[in-house]
Order: sequence, then C-alpha cells, then structure tokens
Amino acid sequence: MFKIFIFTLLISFKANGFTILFEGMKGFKTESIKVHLDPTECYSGIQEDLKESIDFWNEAVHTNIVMVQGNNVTIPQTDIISQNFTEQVVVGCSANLDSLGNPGDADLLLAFANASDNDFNDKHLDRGYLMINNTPGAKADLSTRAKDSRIATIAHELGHVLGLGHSSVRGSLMYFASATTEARLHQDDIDGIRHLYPQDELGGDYLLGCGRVVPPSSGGPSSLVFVVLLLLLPLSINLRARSKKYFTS
Amino acid sequence: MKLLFLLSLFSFPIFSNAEVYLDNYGVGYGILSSGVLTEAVTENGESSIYGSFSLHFLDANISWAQDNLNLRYHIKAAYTLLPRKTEDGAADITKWRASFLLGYEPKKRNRKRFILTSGIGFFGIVSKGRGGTQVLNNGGGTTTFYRPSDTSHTKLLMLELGLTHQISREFSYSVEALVNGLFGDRRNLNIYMSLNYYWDRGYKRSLKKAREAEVNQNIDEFQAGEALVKKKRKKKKRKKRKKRRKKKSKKGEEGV
Ligand SMILES: [Zn+2]
Repeated sequence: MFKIFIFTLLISFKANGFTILFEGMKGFKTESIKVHLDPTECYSGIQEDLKESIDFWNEAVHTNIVMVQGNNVTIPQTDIISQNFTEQVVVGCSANLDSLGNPGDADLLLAFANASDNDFNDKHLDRGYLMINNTPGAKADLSTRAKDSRIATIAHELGHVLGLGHSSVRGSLMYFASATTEARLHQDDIDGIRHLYPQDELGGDYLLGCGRVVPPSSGGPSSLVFVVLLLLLPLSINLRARSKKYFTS
Repeated sequence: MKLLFLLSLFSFPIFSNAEVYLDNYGVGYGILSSGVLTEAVTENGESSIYGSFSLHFLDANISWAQDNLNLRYHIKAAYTLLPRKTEDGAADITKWRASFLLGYEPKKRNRKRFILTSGIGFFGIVSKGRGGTQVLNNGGGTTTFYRPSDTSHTKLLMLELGLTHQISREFSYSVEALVNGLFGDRRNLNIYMSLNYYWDRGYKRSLKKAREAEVNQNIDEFQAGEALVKKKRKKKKRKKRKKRRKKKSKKGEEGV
C-alpha cells in the first residue's frame, strides 16, 4: 500500500504554457463584456459563428468570464483596428485585408485581434477588436473554411481580445499555429482564462452561482434552500430508518 | 452572512447537549478530477470526459459521531503540496479544499463500514504566475508574449455527496462528487478520490461497545438458560412427586 503511495508522488506534471498579451495586464473589469458586430463586409453566417464562439469562453468552468452580444454597429475598418470606438469589443470583417495591414496578409491571416487598456491605465483591459478576413479569392478567406474551423478561429481571436497571448501547448485553442480545427477548450486555455478572470463565489453576494452576473432563469429553487435540504438529507434518512424500527417492533 | 448561517446550522448538533464524541481523525492522499462529463481537451491534448486530473492532495480529516442519531460530522481539508508546473509553464497551480459534511451510516457499525456524506465545501485554485516572457509564432513572424507575474485566486462553493468505505481498522477510501454552480450555465462535476489513514478512536470505541453488548447478551442468555433449567428441574421434581404419590396410593389400595 505504501509503495503505491510513493510511486504516485513521483509522477510528473504536464505543461501549461499559456501567455498573456501585455505584461502585468488583467482582464476586463466589468461584470460582462459586450461584443458588437459590424456585419458590413461579413459573410452571411457570421452572427451564428460569433455567438457560438462567445459561448465557448462563457462555458469555461471555474472562471468568471461573461461575454454578451450587443447590437450591431457600423464603424470604419481603420477605426476598428486602431480601437477608435467607444464600445468594449467590436468584431468586423474585411473584404480587402491587404489594404488594412501588410500586402499578402489576405493569404496568410484568417483573422487578427488585439486589446488594450485604453481608458484608465489601470492595467485592466477595456477595449478590444477582432478583424475577420473575408477577402474573396484569398487563400485565408475565413468564409471558405468549415464551420468547426471558423469557430475555432473566432474563439482563438476572442481569446486575444480577452487578454490571452499564444500558447506553446499543442492542441490548445491558443496554440500559435492554426492547427486547431476542432473548436474545443484545452485545459491550458482554461488555466489561462481562469488566471485572468478568477471566479470568487465566497466574496460579496455570491453563493453557489446565485450572485453570478448573468441572472439565473427565475422560478428555480433558491440554492440556499437546496443546501439546507442537502445537509438535512442524512438526518431524514436516519429518521425514516428509526421510525420504521418503531413500526416493526 | 449566508455562510455563517449555514455553518451555524452545521455546528448546532455539535454544541447541543446530545452525546457527541470524537470519532476519527486521519491523513490521506487525494486525487481530483475537474470538469467530469464536460468534453474538453486534457493536458495530453486528448479529448476526455473524465475531466482533468489534479494529483497530490494532502488530505486531513476529522469526524465526530453522535450515536443516538446515527450521525457523523466531518471536517475535511486538502491542499496540493506540489504545485503543477513545467519548464515552459506559465504559472504554478495549487488547489485547496475545506468541507463541512454530515455523515450517515446506513448499516449498524461494524469493522467494514460504509459512511454516506453530504454537505458544502469551499474550493480554491491558486494560480501563481512565474513571470518572464516567451517568444512564439504569430502570423508570419514572431511576437513576445508575457507570462503572468501576479497571483490569481479562484474561490468556489461546492455541494458535496460522497461515500466512504472503511476497509480496515486504519484505512478507508472515499469517492466524492463535488458539484459547483448547480443552477448556473457553468455547472460542473468534480470527482475527488482519496485514501485515508486513521488513528481510529471511533472504531476502538465501537468495538468496545460491541464487546460489552455481546457480554451483556451472553449474560442474559446464560441467565435465561439457567432459569429454563431450573424450571425443567422443578417440573421433573413435580412429576416424580406425583408418581410417588400415585405409587403410594396404589400401594395403599392394594393394602386394603
Ligand atoms: Zn493568435
């Protein structure tokens, strides 16, 4: 028995190689992050793709990240990439990506993104954008990719918007090569996003998710009641067992 | 405030004048699997529904028993002594756990007992950034990215349901389900498995009690047996007397 104990102590751990975009930078401070779409030059399925990519991060367990989709906007592309807007996050598409950056980008980049601490200089992000390559005929036109690959790409770029850099861990969503064609969160992605957006259910009004920033659907029982019932469960089993005894004897 | 209320509810039986005694205390080794049944990619890059494993939890637990209600009160604490880290790791991740559980023993206490537990627990994940930079591919070139240099602390509330099986006087193992965010979108199931070593006060006490009960029963049986024998003897004597009387009377008749 003791030998097994020692053996398990010697098993080593695997890598977690997430990085962040800027030194010492924390995530968005607001309770939720509003993402606005400028669909002007976008392919038709973008709304649905964006929603699914957002849910991706929203479902990351043990984190506090909540992104919501705001109303659509119309902002010049140059303003989007220089983060010259008042919204928190803007998602745009470009039908001529080369004109926005370096020549050849349209054949190289499926999308790009960035974020910044624009307003307060408090080492918390408050602005971010995501530009999708929708250049007709270009090698890296995102709209020509399969749905899984599109969502993996948008979710990866959203990761940047949230403050994550690339990861050295192969198979993670934030891995530097766009080898990820399957849209799934890797433990490394969760480790990274949890570092930037830690959940605190013990502080403030939080209790078992009651105090979550997204109000839970009404009508359900209060979790406090549930906890009390759970605590009383052994007691009730016990009392039943005892009462049975009385009946039989 | 709510937490205080819950804790006071939990501690009520301990401070009431019911007979509560220290049952068991011990240390152990635990493994946690987070995000069970949620399909995610594990640290090996493989898809898994078993969740991601955290090893090397040092476990400490203490329990009080209340025999008249057949209840048990457990406090469990655990901490990962060795943080998860690597050569290009961004952060050292340690986890801790503190649980307040009610235990119930479905069967009468014996050597190989099962204990059902339920209650609430606090669970923490400490991510300590290691600082520094890392140059990684980005688009056509490379970019310098940063490793976090601060510490972030995730604190979670868990609803817990578990089963402990005492396999010998000193050892037990338990499997516990820790549910977080039950009514939210991020509901997640975590499984905690541990092996524990006990300094078994409770077991000795229960053994002593059982022995006493056995002795009492034996005495009872012995007394009952004696009484029966006495009764039988009395019956025999009575019969003998009757026979003698009958004989005597017969003799008497003959004599007439
Ligand atoms: Zn990237």
